[in-house]
Amino acid sequence: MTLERARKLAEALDSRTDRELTEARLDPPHKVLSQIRAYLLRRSEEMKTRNNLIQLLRFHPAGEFAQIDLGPSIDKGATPQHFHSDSGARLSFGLTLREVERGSQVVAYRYQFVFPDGQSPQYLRFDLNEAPHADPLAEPRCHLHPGIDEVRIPFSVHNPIEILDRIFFVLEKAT
Amino acid sequence: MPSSVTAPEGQLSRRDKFRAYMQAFNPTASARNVIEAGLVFDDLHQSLYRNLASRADLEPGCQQLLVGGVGSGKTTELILAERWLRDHGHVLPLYIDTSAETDLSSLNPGALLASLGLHSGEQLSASFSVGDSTEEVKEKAKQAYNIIKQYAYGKKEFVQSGDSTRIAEAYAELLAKRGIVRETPGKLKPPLPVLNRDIREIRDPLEQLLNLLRGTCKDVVAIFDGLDRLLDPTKFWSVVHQDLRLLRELKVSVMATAPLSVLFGAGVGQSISDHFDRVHHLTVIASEPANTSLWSVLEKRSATNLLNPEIAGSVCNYSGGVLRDLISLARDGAEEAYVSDRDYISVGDIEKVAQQLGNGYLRGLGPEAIKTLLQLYRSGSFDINQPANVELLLTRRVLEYSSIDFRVHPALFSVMP
Amino acid sequence: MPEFSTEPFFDIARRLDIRGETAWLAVLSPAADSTAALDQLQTELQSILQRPSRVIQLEHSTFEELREALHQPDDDAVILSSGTGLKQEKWRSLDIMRSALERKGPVILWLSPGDVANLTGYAPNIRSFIGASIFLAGPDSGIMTDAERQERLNELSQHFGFTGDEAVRRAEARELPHEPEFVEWLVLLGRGDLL
Repeated sequence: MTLERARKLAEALDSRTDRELTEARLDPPHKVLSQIRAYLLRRSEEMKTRNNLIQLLRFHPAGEFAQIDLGPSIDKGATPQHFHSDSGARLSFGLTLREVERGSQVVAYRYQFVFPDGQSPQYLRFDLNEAPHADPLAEPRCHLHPGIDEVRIPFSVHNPIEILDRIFFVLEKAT
Repeated sequence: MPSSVTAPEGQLSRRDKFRAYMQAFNPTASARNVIEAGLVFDDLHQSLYRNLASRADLEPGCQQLLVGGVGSGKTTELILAERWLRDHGHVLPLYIDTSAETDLSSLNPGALLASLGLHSGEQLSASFSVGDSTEEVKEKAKQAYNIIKQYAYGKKEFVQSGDSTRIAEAYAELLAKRGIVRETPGKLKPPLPVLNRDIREIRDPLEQLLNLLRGTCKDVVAIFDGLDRLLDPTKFWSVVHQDLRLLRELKVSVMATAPLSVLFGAGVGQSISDHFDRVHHLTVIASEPANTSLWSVLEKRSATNLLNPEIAGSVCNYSGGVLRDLISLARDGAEEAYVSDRDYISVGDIEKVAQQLGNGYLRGLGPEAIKTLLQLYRSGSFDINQPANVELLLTRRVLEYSSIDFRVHPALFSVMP
Repeated sequence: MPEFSTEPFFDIARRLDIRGETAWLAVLSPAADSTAALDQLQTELQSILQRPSRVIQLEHSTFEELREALHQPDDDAVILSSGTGLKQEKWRSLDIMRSALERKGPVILWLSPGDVANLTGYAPNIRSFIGASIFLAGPDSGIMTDAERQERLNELSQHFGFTGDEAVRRAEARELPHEPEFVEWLVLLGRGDLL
């Protein structure tokens, strides 16, 4: 097992990620927005903490691209723009889509779930980069930050709703 | 308001609370379901349903009319009467929603009789399965029912024709039979088109079924709902005149709904009392402070879960006493609170929905109609013999609190120029 | 003439959702792009109500066709479209058959603004079911405003220590990282072409 072999395996993983992304189709961006909004509405109603979805979820269409954001682009602490849960955890995310024939493709995403104070790790962030990195071993295209910015663990590509499933039905339950 | 707020522990989820309220205040729920859920304040019209039911019970063949505007609670009173008869009476009530069973816009004389016949046949069939009727009786019933069914839905029959010399080779088999298929349309639409028939031909089979029912169960009371949809009174009378006359001969008690236009407008009056033993006018309920009926309707549905008494008063006022508008406003107010992230209905919520309701009534009113409404408001004068004014009544822009007390719908008045 | 309340389709769907079964309401179609608006309404209905939706044109439907269509199935969301407007007689006949139109799933009347007068004038039984629930189709309030977009751009600039113009220059030189924050930056600048 050499570093070179590890890099080659990492490259192969990135290639598979690229293929999956190329083949996968979501609905058109405004439908994806609607689905995410409806999903968060349900989760919000299951909580005591009130989250005003209309104000939190923001949509910016720009030509063939669309940006769906919730919360700040860079998490520097709790804000009213985050999605807050009963445990004290908070969520922010950004999703970039490209509209194509028969729907849209995922270009990039970041989902940051910050655990309540005092919990370790402090946060988990699911990232999908727009293109492979020069060093796919250090920075896989699709990865998870386990509370450390410099560490990136490979992660499988997920549908935007599926990531929310992991957050609400797994991470939130673990708080 | 901030985007995230934490609510106290232990409370029923907000969504569940609003959902439960919405179910109680659903203006489009079936009257039967609302009654079964125990949400009806049955003393609202001084137990009118008991008057209807007891008269039908005690006087076989009597015919009663229930007249009221849209959303006044007619169906609820009829179903309460039906339940009372089942529980206390010595008759068999058969409730028939004519507007659900047939296309009323093409209603023919004989249609009510056909509907009653079908319902009677089904009831008889149900009684056969639990009773010990003879095969002869069952066969008689089956034959009568089949005749009624054909009358209702029409039939196809093979009829012998005369000259066959011109029929082509391709129809050789048919030629051998020397006949054609003749189709006779029925009374009920759908599925077959309209054709006038002599109503008398249904008398015998219907009488047979009714007599069999009397033998196995009880006298029948026919409850015809939905005829109030026939806003044009001529259509109403064209059907009622023949059908109800025959039912009177057969000693079947009848309760039927009718549109307000049979009470108001030119040429009305004598003809109603000629045909009906009793005419019940379901008027709009005044929301004066001394009258707590409307509040009782709200209270029965646990309005206080989201609505405080002071705001409830506002709901009563804006409804004008139209029951469906009362339920709608209470529901819509809650909906406003829900989408605006409030936990209780506010004054502003009711003001907003009342304005919405008023806007709906305002649309399509021309300057003459507005002038009529303003005059009504200022002086109380309203010429009910004018067709345009009867329209205002039928479309609920004007409400009738009695045969001489007319007022502008309060929600409409609040948005009038 | 006072106007009806303007509601985004998301809130219209939420209203139907919290009402539960047998809900009726009316939506007034926008003057322009009615087809696209109808598609957006269906999207929100399907997302929030988690049930399919379909559109039925009222103008050419007979009593039998309409009754059958509304009950097969009877629990999806049905949008009854009056197109550019129905004649008086058609409204009257729909009103008479209101009972036959009643169903479990929600019913949304998609009306041209002028048709509200006809609804009240010729279909008082249906109007009674609608009550105060007549809404103007409103824009989606989730669209990012220009001020919000600018705020995000400022946030990104401050965090990474260079301007948007510099981000574009680096992207053109293939020097901008591929992380999602930079992707977002370019999209918000309207430079998705550099991706």
